[in-house]
Amino acid sequence: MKIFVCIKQVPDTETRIKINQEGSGIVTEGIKYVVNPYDEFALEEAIRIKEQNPGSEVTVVTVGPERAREALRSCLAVGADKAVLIRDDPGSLDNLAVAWVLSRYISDKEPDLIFTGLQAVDDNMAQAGGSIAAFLKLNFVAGIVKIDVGKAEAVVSREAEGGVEVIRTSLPAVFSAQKGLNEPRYPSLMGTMQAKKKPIEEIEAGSLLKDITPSRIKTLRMFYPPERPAGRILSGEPPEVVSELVRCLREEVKLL
Amino acid sequence: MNLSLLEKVILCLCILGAFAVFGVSLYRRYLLVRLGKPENRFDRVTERFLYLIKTIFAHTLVLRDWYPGLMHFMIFWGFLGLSFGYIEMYGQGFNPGFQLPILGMEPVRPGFLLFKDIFGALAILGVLIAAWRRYVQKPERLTASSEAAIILGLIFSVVTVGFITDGLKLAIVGNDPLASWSPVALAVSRFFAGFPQDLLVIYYKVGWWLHLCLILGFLIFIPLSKHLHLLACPVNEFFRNLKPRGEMPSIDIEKAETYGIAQIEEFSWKGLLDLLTCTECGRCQDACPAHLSQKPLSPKKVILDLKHHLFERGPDLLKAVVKDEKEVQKMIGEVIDEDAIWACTTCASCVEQCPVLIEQFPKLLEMRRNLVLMQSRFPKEVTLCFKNMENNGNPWGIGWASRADWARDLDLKKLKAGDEVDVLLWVGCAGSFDERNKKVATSLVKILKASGVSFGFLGEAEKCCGESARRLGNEYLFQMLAQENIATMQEIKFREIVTICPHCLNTLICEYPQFGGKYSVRHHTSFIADLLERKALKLSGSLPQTITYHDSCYLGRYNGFYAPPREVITSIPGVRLKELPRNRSKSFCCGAGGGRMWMEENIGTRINSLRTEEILKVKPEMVATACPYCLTMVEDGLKEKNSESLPARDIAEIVCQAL
Amino acid sequence: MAGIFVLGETRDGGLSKATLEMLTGATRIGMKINEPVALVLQGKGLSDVSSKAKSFGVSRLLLVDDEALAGYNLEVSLAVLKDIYSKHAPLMLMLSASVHGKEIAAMLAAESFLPLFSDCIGLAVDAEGQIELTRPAYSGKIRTSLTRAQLTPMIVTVRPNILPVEEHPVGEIVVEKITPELPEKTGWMLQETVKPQTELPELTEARIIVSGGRGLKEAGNFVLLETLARAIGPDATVGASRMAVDSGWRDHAFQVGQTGKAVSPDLYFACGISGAIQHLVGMSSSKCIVAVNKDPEANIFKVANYGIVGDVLEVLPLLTEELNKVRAVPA
Repeated sequence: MKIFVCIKQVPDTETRIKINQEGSGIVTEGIKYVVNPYDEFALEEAIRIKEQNPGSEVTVVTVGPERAREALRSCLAVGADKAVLIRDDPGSLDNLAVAWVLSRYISDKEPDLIFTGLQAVDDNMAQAGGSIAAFLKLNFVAGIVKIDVGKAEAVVSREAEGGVEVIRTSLPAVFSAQKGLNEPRYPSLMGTMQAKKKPIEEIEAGSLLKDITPSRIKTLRMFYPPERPAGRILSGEPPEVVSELVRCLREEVKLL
Repeated sequence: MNLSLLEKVILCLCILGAFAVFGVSLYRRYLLVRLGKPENRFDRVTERFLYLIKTIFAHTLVLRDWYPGLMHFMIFWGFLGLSFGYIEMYGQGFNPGFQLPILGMEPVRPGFLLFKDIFGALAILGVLIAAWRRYVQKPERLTASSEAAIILGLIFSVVTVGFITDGLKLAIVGNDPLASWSPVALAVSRFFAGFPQDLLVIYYKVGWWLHLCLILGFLIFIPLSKHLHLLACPVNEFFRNLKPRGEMPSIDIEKAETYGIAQIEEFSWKGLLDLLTCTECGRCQDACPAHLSQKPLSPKKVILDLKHHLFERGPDLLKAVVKDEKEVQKMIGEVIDEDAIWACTTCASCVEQCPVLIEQFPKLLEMRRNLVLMQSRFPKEVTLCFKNMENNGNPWGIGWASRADWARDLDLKKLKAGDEVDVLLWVGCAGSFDERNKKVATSLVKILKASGVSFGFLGEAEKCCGESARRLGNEYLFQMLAQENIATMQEIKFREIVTICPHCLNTLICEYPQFGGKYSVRHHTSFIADLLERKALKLSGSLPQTITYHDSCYLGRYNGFYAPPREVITSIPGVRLKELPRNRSKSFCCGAGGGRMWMEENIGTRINSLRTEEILKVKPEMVATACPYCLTMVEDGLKEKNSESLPARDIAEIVCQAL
Repeated sequence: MAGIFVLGETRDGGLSKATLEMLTGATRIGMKINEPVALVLQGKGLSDVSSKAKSFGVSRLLLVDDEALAGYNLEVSLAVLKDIYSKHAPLMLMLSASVHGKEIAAMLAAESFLPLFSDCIGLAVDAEGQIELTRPAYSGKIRTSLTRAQLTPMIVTVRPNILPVEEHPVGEIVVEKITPELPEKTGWMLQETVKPQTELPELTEARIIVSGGRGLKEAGNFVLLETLARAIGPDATVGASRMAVDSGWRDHAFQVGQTGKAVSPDLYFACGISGAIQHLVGMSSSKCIVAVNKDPEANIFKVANYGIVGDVLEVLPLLTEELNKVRAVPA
């Protein structure tokens, strides 16, 4: 099986996000970059499927700047076979263009399965998987928490508003991974050392763009969410403080 | 004793034969030890030798537990003295006039005889006490094995038959001028007074040959049983670890082909020698917090299971027979339970208590290295801990950029490249991120300010010291963190480091030098103790309370700092210091060391629960700690026992209040 | 006059709250920039919602009523919307930022080559008459916005429970029945939907959430939250912190936080939850937050509107009791 995993290198979720002076983006200095956590679920599942289907190959692809190489290395360390860096400077391609570039790369590789993370923790757009699927004219299921891969079909589960949906789709198909799909493994040291020696294919994003406007959505303005006003700690013994709370909720904010 | 030529030949053959069998068995054991990897323990030979004299002749290690220690002392000296006597006895089989050189000759001889008899009698007493202890009192840590029974039986019979034979000899001879120097033999001989001479001679001969069989049988039995410790102990103690207890061996990540230990032959020869030295005394088990809280870990069991595994694998390994994986018991997982490997808190009680200096827990740490670095197989919650240390330089994974937030309003100098101060305050992750321990850090800053030294901290540039990573087996992550910290510190000039946390202390002192970081480091209690002694710090407040102090493993057992925290506590006016039953080198671990702070405790009782019970029994008005882990675990324990009214405070906080 | 097309949902014979919120948002900007609002409904056996739609500003109602849309089918929905887009070329296609909505939107964006602005929490028209769309980024730590100057036709998904529900009636509504051009066998099929073992409303739809964490000490104590939620009403549900879910006390479907769901109810009770940043990003946009925690220094109190320092196990039953008491008394 040929499995592709599209990943994105993003700032670690603990990063203190500071908006730059122009308000057009964030301050990138001192940021620790990691593989998008949702992409880790995707990669882990791809590797598990590979382990269950000997002879399979997992290729990790990312669109990003030079520093994204590090993210690819950590993917190789946990068990990806190949890594591809589609070089692009951040911000020059919008999400749709990124999906286009990824789909162009994959289109002639005869993929059996394509995985992405549900969403990137920087832009939270949740677009890559679906757009790649549409560009490649493949089926798509977002946010899977379970997958059983058969010969020509896969059955997946995912949580939606109505409950857990069990969906059957023909293969090849694209899936985006949600938390709960698996526990991503920690790379062994052997894996990390071997990953240092594996080659990373590099392609310029521009070469895959052709006729596509790279970016039609530009962030106009970035600002911090409004500060919450300071709250009140109600004091008193449990019975009194509870009646006071109920009174506030009914009379002051009128929510109960 | 006059032997015919034939009897002399038989005697000679028996002795030679026994020694040959003994020699072969011993050699086989030696070959097993030689299967181990090389390790240099051949340094500081004089120091090593002199130490042996203390431990063997004065029994310093064994006597730490006075009851069995005294018992063993008697058996040891008794048997030793008697052995020399037996040499003379069998020498006389070849030459009736033979006397032991020096010991057996005037003027030493009378003293030698007396010593031999008294201590021989004490040896019998010792054996009887030992049997009573093992089979009637039955302490948990002793196994009532058949091997133990045989050994006790053999000692008893050898010594008893020996005395009977001696007594018979005196009775036969009748007028040995030195008879009164052998009081026990003399008493025995009196028992035989009035027996016909030829009967006595027959008894004597029977006794003499019986004794020979017993003693040669014993000789053969030695290398085949735990009695091998007679020979293994001095050797094992000679080659003891002279490096700091808190220094784990380093790994050359680039060059090493494998990481950690997963096969018995990957241990060093010293590690394998440890296995043969174990006397099964169980002192380690009795002191192990994991064992005492019903985890599947017992240091004694680990050593013995590894020993049996060595015996099982030995023959194949020596013949270089390669067995299929499925036919061989897996050392990690089957011989040693994986839960046992992770249950260790590295409190070092096992190595502290062992009277023959076996290094139990370091073997578990090497297995952890294999599990983490080679197999990537470890408790789920540890993955997050590793990722957090990697991405944000602390095990909680709180944004690295907020590491200095705790000191925002403290006017604490953040050091940058080129700065110069007296003291570099190494805050550690707990002091920087844990709400409770931030207060300890704040208190220490106040104390430092009052002391007048120039000091600063690294702020956001400080990363986790990496100690937990190393103890959990992740050597790669540890080296990464250590090297980054050393590079940061290289840019700054300081006389010494003062740290809040004994784990940081230990790794900075003992392990950072492996990577070029040599610093003078002190724990804050030593620093404060020094300030108080020099009167550079004045305590005006008084605290009329009974305080008990919980020794931190990494401050106490690892680095020997039992006194400074106590000096500080008792220098506060009004304080009454009350000791916990298990204190100083016997202090009972809080349960958080060895990376266990970052793991779930799902088996048995909680270790901190046991310690809290001990603390509550002493009825103190305050509990003092010197480590952020201990503080957290003690407070958790008190919460669990609904005793939050008993305050737990770090020593820095107590001092700060009295400033 | 390309219009703003909203893909809505029916619920129990009427329009869902999320749909009404979207219509409110669409209508408010539609009125300012002079664009009509159309509502697209897909399904089987769709009931008559035209009068309700009219009062919410819909001037055009497109009904796609077909067997193939009886249950959710991504491929079919996609084909229908792509068709509608190519025929009507609306200025904006609006869907709910639900699991289905975001999935359809991501594919539609590529199918029709449209920019996608996902998880929108603000639709406004500024002083100069420009549409401004706002969405959260970096796990909610910052907001970003775009204006219409850059908007060519685009797709927007709107986060539920943020926008208000307001009627802006229009004079006339045209109802159009559409027969979709269905794709041949798609190979995508929803086999079954397993409903959660609880009749409590789903997290992202509940108006009030009573959430529990470590302070509850064990799974059994969650019954206190359930009792309180039931006492509050049918629009209240029970949530859980990551710690509670990881400990197996609650199903992941009810986890609130960075690795669970982002919720924005009117009222959020954080019971025995310390308020670590990973939890906060999942609920900090709640309109009102009440925190109950034993530790007065707990982080949750920094974002709470009202706080009680106390044992959750003690406070919750008293809260339920008090609520029942005041409600029993006629106002």
